[in-house]
Amino acid sequence: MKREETRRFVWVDWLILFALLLGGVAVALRVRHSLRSAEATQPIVYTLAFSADAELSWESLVTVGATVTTANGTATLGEIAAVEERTLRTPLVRDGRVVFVEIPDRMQLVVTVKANAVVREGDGLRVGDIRIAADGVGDFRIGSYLAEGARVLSVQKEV
Amino acid sequence: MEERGTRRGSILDLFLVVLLLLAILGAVLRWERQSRESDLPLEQYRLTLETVELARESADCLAVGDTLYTESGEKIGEVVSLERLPAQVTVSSLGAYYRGEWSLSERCILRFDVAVSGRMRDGVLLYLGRTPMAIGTPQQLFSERVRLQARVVETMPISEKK
Repeated sequence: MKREETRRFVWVDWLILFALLLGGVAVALRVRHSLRSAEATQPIVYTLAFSADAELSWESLVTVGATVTTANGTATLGEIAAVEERTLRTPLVRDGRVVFVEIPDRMQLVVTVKANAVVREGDGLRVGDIRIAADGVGDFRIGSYLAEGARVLSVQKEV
Repeated sequence: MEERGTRRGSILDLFLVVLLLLAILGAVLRWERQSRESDLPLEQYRLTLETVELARESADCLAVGDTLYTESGEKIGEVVSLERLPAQVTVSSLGAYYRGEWSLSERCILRFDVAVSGRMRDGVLLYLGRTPMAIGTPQQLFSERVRLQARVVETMPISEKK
């Protein structure tokens, strides 16, 4: 009987220790987050490009002034400053030569986004802890449209 | 019965001791080789890399003088020269393959040189004396504004570069 009590005590000890460790990790993450939030930011302008259905009414889905977030909406990645429609071309063989022809019913939407980024040496430009680098690919919610596999076309620091 | 159990235990113990000794010997030999190599001075090399094709706007985000880092933030070196090459496309049609080129104003390949510190071992450049940069090694590099998926195409001591 006495031995059983001792064993239960040890088990409870481990449980408390584990809970304390979890608490410690949570506090450390919170402190790290608040320290990072306090870092100086730099205004940037970046462009996002994605292939889109030309039939959809993009003027109502992707509007200037709307916000850009991560796909799940957990981080805000800036505000839309401009929207541009471009033709999408694909290589095809015609008369034994490679030619680039327009893809019917598809287009490329290029969205200019203004944001404030944290600049850290070796860590690039980060908005909402997401690295924004040209040629990077990700899922973004642009206005009220979810652009899967959108590509960052260019990144500029605003002077 | 008890005696046999004891003897088996002893053989197992001996086996573990031998394994442990071998592991220690391996670690000592590795440490000895590393310390011998780290005594050699690092030299300056020019590492030439070529990216996969990318949009012209993205290519414009890299400039001479930019510092390149690995994904984990380790500094590689500074871009010392940079050129844009046309991006090739291969299209198959009726069993034949045709080759074309994107216009440079749309898509291109970046070929750039980075000044790095390292040393050669068995014909392979060891960046900072430890990370191998063999020809053909794919690298994911970052400058402040652009991500580059590139391959090492040439390594050369800076004094030998024409």
